[in-house]
Amino acid sequence: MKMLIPFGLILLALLLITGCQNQNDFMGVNVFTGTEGLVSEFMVNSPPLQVYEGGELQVGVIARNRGIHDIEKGFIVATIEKDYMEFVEGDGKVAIKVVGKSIYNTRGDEIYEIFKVKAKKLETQSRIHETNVAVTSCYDYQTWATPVVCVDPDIYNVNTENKPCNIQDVEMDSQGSPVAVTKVEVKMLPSADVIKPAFKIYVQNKGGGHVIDKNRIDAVCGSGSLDYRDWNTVYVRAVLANTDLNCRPSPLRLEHEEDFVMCSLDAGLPKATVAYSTLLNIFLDYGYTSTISSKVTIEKEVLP
Amino acid sequence: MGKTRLNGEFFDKELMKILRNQGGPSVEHRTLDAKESTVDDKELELAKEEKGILDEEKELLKNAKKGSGKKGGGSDDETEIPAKRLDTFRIFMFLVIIGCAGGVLVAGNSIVQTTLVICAGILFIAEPYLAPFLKDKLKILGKPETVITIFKVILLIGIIFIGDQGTQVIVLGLAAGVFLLLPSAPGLFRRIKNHAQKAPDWKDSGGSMGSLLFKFAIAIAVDVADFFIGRIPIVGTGFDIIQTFIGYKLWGGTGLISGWEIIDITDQLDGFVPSLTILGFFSIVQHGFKPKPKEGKQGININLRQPGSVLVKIIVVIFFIAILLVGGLAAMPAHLYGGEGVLARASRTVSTSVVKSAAWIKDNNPITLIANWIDKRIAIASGSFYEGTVEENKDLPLGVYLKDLKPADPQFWEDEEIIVWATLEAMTIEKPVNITVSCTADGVFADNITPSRKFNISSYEQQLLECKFNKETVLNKVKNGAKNVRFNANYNFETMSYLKTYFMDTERMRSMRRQNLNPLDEFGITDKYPIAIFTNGPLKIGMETLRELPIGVPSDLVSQREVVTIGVTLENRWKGRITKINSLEIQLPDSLDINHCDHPFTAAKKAEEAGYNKYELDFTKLDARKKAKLENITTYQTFRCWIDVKDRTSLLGKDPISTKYIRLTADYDYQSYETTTIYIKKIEKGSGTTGGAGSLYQKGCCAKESTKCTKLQSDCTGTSFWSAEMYCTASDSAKNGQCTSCTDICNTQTQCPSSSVKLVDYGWCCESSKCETGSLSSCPIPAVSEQFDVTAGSNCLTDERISQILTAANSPAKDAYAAFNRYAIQYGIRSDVALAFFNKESTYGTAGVAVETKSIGNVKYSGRCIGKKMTVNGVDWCGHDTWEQGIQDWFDLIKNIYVGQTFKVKTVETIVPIYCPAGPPDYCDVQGYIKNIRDYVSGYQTP
Repeated sequence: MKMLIPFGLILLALLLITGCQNQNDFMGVNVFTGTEGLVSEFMVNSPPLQVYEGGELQVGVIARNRGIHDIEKGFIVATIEKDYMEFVEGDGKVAIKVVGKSIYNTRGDEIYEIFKVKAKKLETQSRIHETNVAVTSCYDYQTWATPVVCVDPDIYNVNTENKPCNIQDVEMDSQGSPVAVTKVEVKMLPSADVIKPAFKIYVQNKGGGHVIDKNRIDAVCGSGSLDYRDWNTVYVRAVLANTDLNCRPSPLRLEHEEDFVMCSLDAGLPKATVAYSTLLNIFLDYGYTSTISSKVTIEKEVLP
Repeated sequence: MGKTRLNGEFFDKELMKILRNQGGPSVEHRTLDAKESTVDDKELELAKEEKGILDEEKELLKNAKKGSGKKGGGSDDETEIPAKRLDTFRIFMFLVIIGCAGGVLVAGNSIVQTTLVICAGILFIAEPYLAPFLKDKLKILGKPETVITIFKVILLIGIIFIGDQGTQVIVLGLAAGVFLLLPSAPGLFRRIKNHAQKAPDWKDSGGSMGSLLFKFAIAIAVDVADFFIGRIPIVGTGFDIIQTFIGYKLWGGTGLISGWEIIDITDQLDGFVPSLTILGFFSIVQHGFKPKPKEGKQGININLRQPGSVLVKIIVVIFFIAILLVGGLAAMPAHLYGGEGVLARASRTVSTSVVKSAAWIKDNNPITLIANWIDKRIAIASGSFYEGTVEENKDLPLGVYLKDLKPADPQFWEDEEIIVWATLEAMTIEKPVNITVSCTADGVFADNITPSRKFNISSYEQQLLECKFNKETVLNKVKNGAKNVRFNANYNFETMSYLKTYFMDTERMRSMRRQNLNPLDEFGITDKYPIAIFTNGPLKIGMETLRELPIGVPSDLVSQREVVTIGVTLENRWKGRITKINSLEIQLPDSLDINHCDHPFTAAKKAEEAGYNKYELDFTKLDARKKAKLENITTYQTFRCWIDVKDRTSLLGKDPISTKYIRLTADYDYQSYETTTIYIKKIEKGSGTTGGAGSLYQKGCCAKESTKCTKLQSDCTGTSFWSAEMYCTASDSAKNGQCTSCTDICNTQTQCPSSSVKLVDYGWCCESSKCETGSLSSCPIPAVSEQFDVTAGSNCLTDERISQILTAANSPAKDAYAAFNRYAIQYGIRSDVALAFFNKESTYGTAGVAVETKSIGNVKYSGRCIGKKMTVNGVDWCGHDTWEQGIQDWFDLIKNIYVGQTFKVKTVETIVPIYCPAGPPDYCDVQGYIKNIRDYVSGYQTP
């Protein structure tokens, strides 16, 4: 029995240790890293490099969601030169939903889309024609960053002892999404009776595509008009201890190498509040688009 | 040792000091027999490195030898040949000979002959080293000088007589001979060289390196001009004289050596030798890079005789060998000629060279080429020339090709038929091609072309053509001398072209650009600046959109429909011309529409392909000037169209970016040609088996008594001979081709029958001893090199022939055919020329403004006009109620304004530049116009 007690303690300790492990890591894999969203690529030999006139070909696309967000609204559209090719079925545009990475699905889901295309007849005197096939994906996405920040209303550092934390900036790399929060600067702004915690949140597009307005996803993957505001628009929401912060500008437009948004707790904290560490939940909502392309050479089957 | 032994002689060291003071620190010569030399080897090496003194030393030493009364040693064993160094003058002459060899080869002579010329050059340069070799190794052959001289004579004979003849060769041989023999004539050589050296040299004039470079630039420019202008006979000789003067100014006495080019009276060889540049180089070699340094200052004197200069010399030699190789590759191996004297050969070669040069210059006139090039650059710079690239079928020989022109013999007698062969190769993919082949010798059409004059090709075909000129045609029309034989292939052809364009919603495009996104990059489009791609053939269709791509399509089409302008250039790609554009079709996506073009395009009823609208050039709405510009295109023509968006939704579809194609198809007539040169030998009077020079014989094959002659040389027997001077009378010729009395008559073509008959083909009546006016003999068609006098004849064609031509052309003036000869006789102007102008100006009244004005020459209104003022397209024309009046008006214009007091010109070559000037307001292709007139007139003689 005496031997069982230490063994039981060791087992309990192991359980505790395991239970306290970071939820984001599963079997050593942190799914909240990476700068990719939906990654598209052509299937092997699809489209082929060459096709004879009148022949059919397939434009096959594999789209993998390598980010942490589940795509609920998205489109894949294939663009072909309609003077030389035509879709056998459909119009080249499909809606998609793709589940992202999670601790249970560390690679993210992938979908397969195949567009059946037929090459038209070439002009009589032409032997070959090189044409461009492009596939564009447009989808909504979200970045979720959770930096641990120190909130310390004692801006004059009166109480120098027993502070659980000190104010400091938080550097971040990526959060498993193409748009990343790269840095959070923590500031305590004095007001009349309170101290207003403020956070300067730096945002950067680290993916290979372009940020679009999440509300204009359909338009971007269509032929309709776009406004400049439809590009590089990110909606930012920051929550500090279950309280939404006031973020400006809103929405944020990514136009420089490093763009930032200031989020503050307008209600403020009493100056007597003791410093504490807490999670700052940052949500970036946006749309994202990227294009891949390939050349297809249409050849005359029989030379005259 | 108080004395140094040189060449078997002893000189005082005092003399050596003098020589040193004159030319350098060390003066040493060695005898060819090293054993006899008493000069220290090290000193000899030093002597080799000295510059600019050795030749003078040699002369001094030779003079000294003469003074001592000894010549070249006393015995054979002591025979000492002066060691001639590889001096610059010798190298220069070697390069000249090499350059000439290139010219010989290019001029059409044989490789054997060229090799002999090169051998002469090598012998010349190697002689100083050959002599000791012969002396040491081949004593058995005799004295070295004798052996070398024998070699030279053999080479000289080979160059002149074994080669392919001609003045070029004679001149070259003589020139080579002079230089080969120069070492044997030291006095002449020395005098030339001394004179050159006494003359002021370039460095004496002072100046800087900058001025030296400037001089080199002038030298190069003059040499380049010599290559082009200097090869025009006679003009080239004048140019050579000027060049010699420039050479003297540039390089002083050394520059006078460029005068050697004057010797080449053919002007075909010296153009290949950049004499001024070479002389400049050697002048620098001789005198250093720096101008004469001022006293007290020592400039850096780069001596090209130093080892480093060898590289420069090698480069120069390689340069000339390259010229030779290029010339050789371009040259046609010549054929052997038989049995004629040197002078006759020279004469023939000169005339052949002249004709060949004239033809070459005509096709490659550097001034025209440069003018066209500049014109094209300006057009490109000003945005009025649009590019295109040939489609991937470029390897398919689409079109019609004339290849391998080859006369059956390089020279013919004037009483034998001429045969020239050519290979016709034709390939088409879609539309059948109708080919009409013609063959001319100096504008005279061939009598027969086998297997046919016309071909219809639906895919691919190759035909061996044989063009034959009958004996009579050769004798009476083509005549003797050097002649250009030209094969023409007229055919219809079709070229298609397409231009890729990208369209995108304007706001979308702007929004992307504002975000620094290139729309084309975003969709993986690499062909960002597409130019037209056209199918292979003689016509290039260039097209470009005159806006940056993608083209924005506005959502508001009411305020802005016109979105894009396209520029189109039709350019002649091949040797030939686009004689006529038959149709021009633009196909646009059905979502687009032509707003307007600077040529009238109208919508066709039905497009060939679904989704496209077709627009055709409306020739009926095309004014005469623009229509004329679409004929006989030898360079290019450009026009623009402004395109509207008709259906935005259809144009953009559902894609973010839409790719559309604009297509253009041209159906046209093209004329390809190739030329070759033949030589027709004249049959000397009295050169038959009997009779002597200066005797008068009749035309035909005459017996010794010259009272009986037949028409053909083939009738000659062993006792008769051929004479081409006189003709049998008509009555005589009826007697089985035997004459009893020979008197000249007007008919030089056909033996007349005994009774009067009208020869429709040639348009005159021939009675037994009388010809009516208006015979063909009074309407000659001069050679291209001669002026075409429009007053030399009047009614040159029969009324029937004129009627036939007008009817065939479906001319509205066909009922007025008799007016041509009537007014031709009245005004003394050739009717065939009038008809040719009628064809040129309005295709016999079927096109352009002439349809309305009834003016056969599109004559503008003036107080002289026989008719009335008629305004069409804003221009006042001389209009007529009847075609007869229009015909009379043209004759009146030419007679009273051109030939008469106003302009005082009477040849086609002088009339046309005024009639249809190259400048404003007509911007005519004057040379093309003249050529057309000549071609048409020649064509009228062939039914």
